[in-house]
Parts: sequence; C-alpha cells; structure tokens
Amino acid sequence: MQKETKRDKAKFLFDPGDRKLILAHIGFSFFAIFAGAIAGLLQGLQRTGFIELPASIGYYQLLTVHGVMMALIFTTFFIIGYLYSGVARTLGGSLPSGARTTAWTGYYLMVAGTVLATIEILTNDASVLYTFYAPLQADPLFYIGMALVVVGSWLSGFAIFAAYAKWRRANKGQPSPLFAYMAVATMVLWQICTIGVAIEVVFQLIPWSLGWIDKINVELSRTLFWYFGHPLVYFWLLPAYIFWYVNVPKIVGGKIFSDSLPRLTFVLFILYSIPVGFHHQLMEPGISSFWKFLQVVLTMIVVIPSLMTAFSMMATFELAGREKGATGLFGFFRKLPFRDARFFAAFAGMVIFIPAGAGGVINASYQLDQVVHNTLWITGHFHLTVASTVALTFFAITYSLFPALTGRRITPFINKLGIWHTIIWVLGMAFMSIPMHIVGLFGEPRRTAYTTYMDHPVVQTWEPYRKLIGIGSGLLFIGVLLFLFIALYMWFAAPRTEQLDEFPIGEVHDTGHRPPPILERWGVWIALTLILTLIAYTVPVMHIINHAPESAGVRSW
Amino acid sequence: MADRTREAARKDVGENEKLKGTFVSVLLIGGFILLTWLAVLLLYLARQ
Amino acid sequence: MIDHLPRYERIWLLLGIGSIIVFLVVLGTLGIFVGLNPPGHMRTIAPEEVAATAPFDEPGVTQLGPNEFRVTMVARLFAFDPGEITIPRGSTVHFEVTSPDVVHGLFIPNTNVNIMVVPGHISEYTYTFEDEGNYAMLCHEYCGVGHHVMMGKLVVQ
Repeated sequence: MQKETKRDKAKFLFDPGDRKLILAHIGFSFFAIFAGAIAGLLQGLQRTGFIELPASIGYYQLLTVHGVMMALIFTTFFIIGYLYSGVARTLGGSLPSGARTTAWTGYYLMVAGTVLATIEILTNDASVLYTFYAPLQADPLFYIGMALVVVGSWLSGFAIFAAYAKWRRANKGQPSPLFAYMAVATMVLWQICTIGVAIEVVFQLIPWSLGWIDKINVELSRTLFWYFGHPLVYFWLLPAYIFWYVNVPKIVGGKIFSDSLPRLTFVLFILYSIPVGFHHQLMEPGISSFWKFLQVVLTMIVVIPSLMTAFSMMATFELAGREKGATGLFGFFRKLPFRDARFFAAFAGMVIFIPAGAGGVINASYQLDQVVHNTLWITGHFHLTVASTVALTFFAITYSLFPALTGRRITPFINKLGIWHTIIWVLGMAFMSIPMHIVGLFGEPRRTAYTTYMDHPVVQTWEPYRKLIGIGSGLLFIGVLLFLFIALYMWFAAPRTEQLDEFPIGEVHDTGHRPPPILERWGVWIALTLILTLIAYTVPVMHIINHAPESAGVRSW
Repeated sequence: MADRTREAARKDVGENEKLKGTFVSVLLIGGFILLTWLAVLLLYLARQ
Repeated sequence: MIDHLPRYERIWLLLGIGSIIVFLVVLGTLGIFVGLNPPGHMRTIAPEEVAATAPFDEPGVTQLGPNEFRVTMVARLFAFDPGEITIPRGSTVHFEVTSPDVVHGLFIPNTNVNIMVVPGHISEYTYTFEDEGNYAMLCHEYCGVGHHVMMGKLVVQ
C-alpha cells in the first residue's frame, strides 16, 4: 500500500485529489446513516411498543437524531460527493484546483457544524426535531451548527459552479454535458431554497436563543422553514433523477433518451419546487385560503416534470430492450439487468416512486390534506420517497461509483449481497410504510412516542399496524448494516481491479437535436424563479410580519 | 433545430411504434395515481 | 423542444396535465362553492395574554342553538382545556383554539378535524358530528416531553 506505483494509480479513474474529496464526503455520510439507523431502530421499536427506553434517553431526542442524521446529514454529504464525481468525470476529468479548495472548505464547515449539532442533541439540549419548531428553543450551538452545515453546502455549490463556468469558458457554444448541467441545476435549487432557512436561523433562532432578542415571530419562522423544506425534498430527489437519466441508460445498455428533455425537467423543478411551501402549512392559521390554494396550484405543476421522467425512463428501457430483441408490449422488461445490483436497487427505487408520488399528490390536494396531515401517513410517505426511492438510488450509486473510485471490483459475491440488500430494504419499507399509510388514515399521529392515550378505544385499531411497523424498523436496521458492510468491503477489501473501471455515464441517443441554448441561461431561470416566489410569498409574508404576535422561547422537553 | 428533415420525422414515427410498451406502462401508473386520489377524496367527503 | 417529443409522450403529458387540472377544479369547487376549506383564519392574540383575554379567559362549550355549539379551547403543555366535551348526535361544532406556549395540534381521528394551533393565532374550524361515538382529541404536533399524553375526549351521544 505504501508504494502505490504508477501502474496502480492508472487503475483509478479519478484524480487522487478528487478521489479523496469524494470519498471524504461519502465516507462521512456513512457515519450519518449509521447513527441515524441506530436512533431510527430504537425510536421505531419504542413507538411501536416493543421496547422501553432507559430514563436517560428521550424518545424525541432519538427522533431528532434520526431526522437530522438521515434527512440532513446523510443526504447532503452523499449528494455533494456524488455530484463532484459526475462533475469531475464529465467536465474534463478532474475538478479545477480552486474549486477543490472551496470544496474542502465547505466540507470542513459542514463537518464542524454536524459535530456541534450532534453534541447538542446528545446532551439533550436540542430535542426540537430537524424542523426546529419554534418557539421550542434549543441551545444556540445547535442552530449555529446547522448554520455551518448550510454555509458549507453553499461552498460546495460554488465549487460545482466554478468547475462548470471554467468548462463553459473553454467550450464556448457547446451544450454542457448532461450530468454537469443537472448538478448545476440541483445546486441552484439548493442555493435559492436554503436562503429561507438561513434567514430563519441567522436572524431569528440564533439571536433569540442567545437572548439578544426576547421573542420571535413563530408563523414567520415556520413559513421560512417550509420555503426551504419543500425544495429540500427535491434536493434529495434530483440526484436520484440524475442517476436515472445519466447513469442508468449505460447500465441497461441503452442510451440517454433525449439531451433536452431532462434539462427541461430540471428547470421545471427549480421553477416549481420553491414557491410551494404553504402546502406544508395548509392546516395553519395566519395564512389565508387564497394564498394556500395558489401554492397548491403551483405544487401540482411540479408533478409534470416527474410525469416526463416516468416516460423517459420507460422509453430508455423499452428502446434498450427492443435493441436486444425484445418483442411484445412488455417484453423489454425481461431484457433489463435485474441481476445487476447497480440496476436492481435503482429500479426498486423507481417502482416505489409510483405509490410515493401518488401519495404526494394527495398530500398537496388542499382539503385532502385534512385526512392525512401530521398522521403516520406522512411518515409513511417520506419513507417511500426519500428513504426508499432516493436511498435505494444512492445505494445503486455507491455500487456504480465505488469501483471507479476505489479501484476495487464488484465481485459476484458482493453483487449478490447487493441484490439481497435491496430485497431486504424493499421488504422493510413495505412492512413499515404500508401500515403507516393505513394507520395514518385511522388517525395515528406522527412524531409521537408510544402511547395508549389512556387506553382510548381508537388506539386498539392501531395496534396490529404498530407491530408491523416495528418489524419493518428491525429489517431496515439490518439493511443499513448490510449496506455499510458492502460499501466498506468495496472500499477496503474487495480484490483490486485488473483494468480501469469506468463510472457508467450514458451516451445521448442521437436525434440530431441539440438542447436549446436558452436552457443554459441560468440568469433567466433564476430570475423567473424569484418572480414566481415573490408572487407566491410577498403578500402573505408581509401580512405575517405585520400581524402575527411574537413568542418567547420554551424548553418543554 | 428548425431544420427537421423528413428523415428525422420518419425516424420519430418509427420511434412511436417502439414506444407502445412505454405508453401503456405510464398509463397504468397514471391510472394508479388517479384511483388513490379518488379514494382519499371519497374518504374526505365521507367524513365531512 | 416540445415538437420533438414522441407522439405518445405528448399524449401522456396532455393526459397528465388534464388530470391535474381536473383535480384542481374539483378542489377549487369544493373550496369556493361548497365552502370546504382547511382550518385557518386570520385572528391573532398575544400568547402571554391568552388567560386574560376573552373568550379564552373562560374556555369551554357554549350552546348556540338546538344542535350548534362553540368550543373555545386553549391547547397548552400538555392538555386541552376543556378536556372533555359531550354533545348530542348531529351537532355542528365551531372550534376556536389558541395556544399560550408552543405549537400544538387538535386532531380528532376519523373526522376531518385537523387543526394546527400556533401561538399568537386563533385557529377556527367548523365540523358536524353525524355519528355517535367516543372520539379522541389528540395533539398531533410535537410540543415537548409530554406530547404523547396530550389528549382530550369528545363524546357524541
């Protein structure tokens, strides 16, 4: 190991500097998923009545760990690592050194922020859940930690923008590679939406928790959070879409269906995933029905790019299948490489996105949210979206990226393990999410420790579903352990590759159409997004600022 | 882009034939979304 | 770009967009013409003055008509006041709820009563209880260490 010869180095696809950077991000995300999984298992078993927690550990403390680690830290670090890999790969083979310095600065800021926030949660000074929920007031260091994570992620975005800008300067008039375009779009979305949570944390929560101001406007803090909170879920989803659009076609032996449409879908995601946060606040006072409904309309528009994606994926599969001689209406399904863990995990994620998307349309449907809001249905919903569709795709990304990154092979054994891991994950999520949806319709609230509500009769209808959810938690914990075993094996122990392993980046199906240059004029799309956001938010936010009374902090945990 | 040749158009038509399975598949997905939405709408109205 | 779409994709997108429009028309009609909107309303109240401000200085149930009631409720850490309500079958109940401390919820399973209670605001919602039964009033927004015991009972006879 100590004398890594030139011949060895040639086996790595990535520049050593990029390799280190990408592995640092993905490696840190593994710590987060491990911590999040332990907390998830314990709180899952507690809330379903399987175990009791020692007095020193609070249920809501565990729930905060689970939410912060899974939803914020695992996702953010993994996504940034993945985006760097594709950006380096498609924009000339390596990141510019300036971008790399920015990227490392961002990384250390995010790590420092995570450590600070974690300490505060573990000392039980921040059991406010990852959604903050003012006027619950955590220790200032928790908010400062979260602010550092956000600022660090901005630097990651700047690193990607810098690499992209450099490529554009050197390749004037050329459409950028699809992966790089999508990475930029994802980070543009992220920069615009995190402004909301940054304002909340920096101008409201930090000064208030330090005692510099006595009170804050609670409804304003919630509105700022959900301005961020909905695009946040698209920040998770878009990298999964990148893998589907760019990497999966190569894995299935097909081509990217179109070079323009995926770009259009990403532009639509930027435009319509931001001015829609009120659909998380439909049951709240202080926002009038008109503005709620307007944002419901905008929310529905964001369904369209996902409908386009569904078609593109199927078309990629069908064209690849027919190329391989598939016949009949659905014959192409049989030509898909289900025995390849890289594909199988991602495909499972795609299938699960069908019920996940259907649930999302229901949640956003104004009055229908009254049936499901803050029930376990919602928890079931995002365990299908982020914890299945996105997570399974991230597992597939790990299997696809690691050989090129670590210079080690996917052995048949590890591939088989990857298949089994996917099966366990899907089973675990089925045990967990389907009962959550059902029991949510029967009225079991989310974010709630084990309770019988004084033996209220309504709870008896929930009991059998709770058992299934608990079993699901156990399966998923095994799933995380298995994933970590596979990933670490591929990182440190698998046999070294004989030749250079490619990171599967698809080629575009040549239709002779180049993507319209307007798609690459980011100023236009950012300006349109800001205009839409101002239309959707200005009047109701001014009303909240002018009319909503303020609240002092409370520590009720 | 404006210079869409006849050949390209013919190619697109060929593509259409190949995409029948895709079309039926996405219609099934759409039908599923429609049904679940209707089910919850009916539940809401029944509880109203 | 759109004219390069395969025909099937154009049909698919038209069907999808059409369905979304139908959804929105149904929801909008229910909201505007049938008056079915989610809870909310714009009245405000200073959280620290809840106990001293009418009507929340005297939370409780007021009968407005033969089958019509107003429930003036304070949701606080970790209880509802009033915590037990009994009404006859077929009653229409006007809820008005506020919180003097943190964000709570008022949720009655198996009904459409699903209300966020944000300090500083008064949430209102009207619902008619057609069926007899023991209903639970639950706090469904995380409010602190006693969140899972924050409940009340509503009996429809």
